[in-house]
Amino acid sequence: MNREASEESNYIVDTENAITQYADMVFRIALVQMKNRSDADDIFQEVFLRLVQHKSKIKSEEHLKAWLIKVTINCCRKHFDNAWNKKTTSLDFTDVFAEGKYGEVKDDTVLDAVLELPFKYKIVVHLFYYEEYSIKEIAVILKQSESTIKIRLSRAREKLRMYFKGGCDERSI
Amino acid sequence: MKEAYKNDIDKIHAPEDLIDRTKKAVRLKEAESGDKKQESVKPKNHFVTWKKFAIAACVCLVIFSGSVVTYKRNNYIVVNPSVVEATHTLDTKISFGKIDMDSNQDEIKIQKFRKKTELIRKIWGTSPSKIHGIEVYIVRGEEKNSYYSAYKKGNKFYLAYGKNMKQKEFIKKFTEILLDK
Repeated sequence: MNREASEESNYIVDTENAITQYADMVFRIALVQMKNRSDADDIFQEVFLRLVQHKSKIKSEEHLKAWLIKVTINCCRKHFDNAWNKKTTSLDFTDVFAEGKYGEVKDDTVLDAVLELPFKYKIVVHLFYYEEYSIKEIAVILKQSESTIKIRLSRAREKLRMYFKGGCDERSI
Repeated sequence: MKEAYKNDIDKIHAPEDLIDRTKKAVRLKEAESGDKKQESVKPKNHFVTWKKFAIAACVCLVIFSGSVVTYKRNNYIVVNPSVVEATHTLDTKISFGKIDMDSNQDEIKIQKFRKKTELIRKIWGTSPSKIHGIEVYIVRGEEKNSYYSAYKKGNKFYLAYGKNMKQKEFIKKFTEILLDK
């Protein structure tokens, strides 16, 4: 068992168990942010290898989840800022879905719309609507102020409204 | 639409091969880092080191302070104002010898008595000093740069007199006599 007690509390991090439990969450964030399988795979591995290094700092299950999200986003940002990545274009996300590897996507309009959002808006939308974190929690994870998160969410909604040509209200994106 | 987004994301799952590869990589990394972590399982508790040092310092301070206090208890000089009203009050009748009170020599004269004379009694009434644990009584003489000292050794009383010397010199010479140096 790969367990190590946190220095500050009695919470024990089982790395392999964490992979099993949070694989989908990490992979989804990585794939939505990077829009390609190759980068998402690299980021997925990098996140859990980092967990091995830093698991002694994890105080609780909630902390572990937030930590994984934070590190995934940071790794995505690092990959995204990489000069090589800026020059290359990733595969069309819907083509990847169309291959059927991740299940059938009957209606990819909403997902397409979110994927079109800028990097920093996409993650806010994902954490708010899919992971169902509050503005305050998202602010803590992303180390931004609550007002910044609110502005990003508001702008993301606006862009999505524009994408759907004014057919949505705030409560449902 | 929120539900549509959620449904789309729900369909995304991490591939099994990716999970397996990652678990293997993690196991390998943990095996490598496991050896390094054995060396530093217990972080050094600097507080404990400093605590021990602080305790040792306090003990030394207490011992030193005690020594200083003990030394000071056995060594202190109080030079009292003159109680010698006139040289004629010096009682030499019962003395074993004479004190040449008119001596101009820069040395201390000692006289021994079986019991306290009037002068010794007067000197004894002043504040005591201690020289190496021996209780003595030191007073100034009427004359400038003259001093008397009275003390008991065994069952005899002693009277010392010094003239034409400064206080420090008198005490130094008297101490030598007292300690039989």
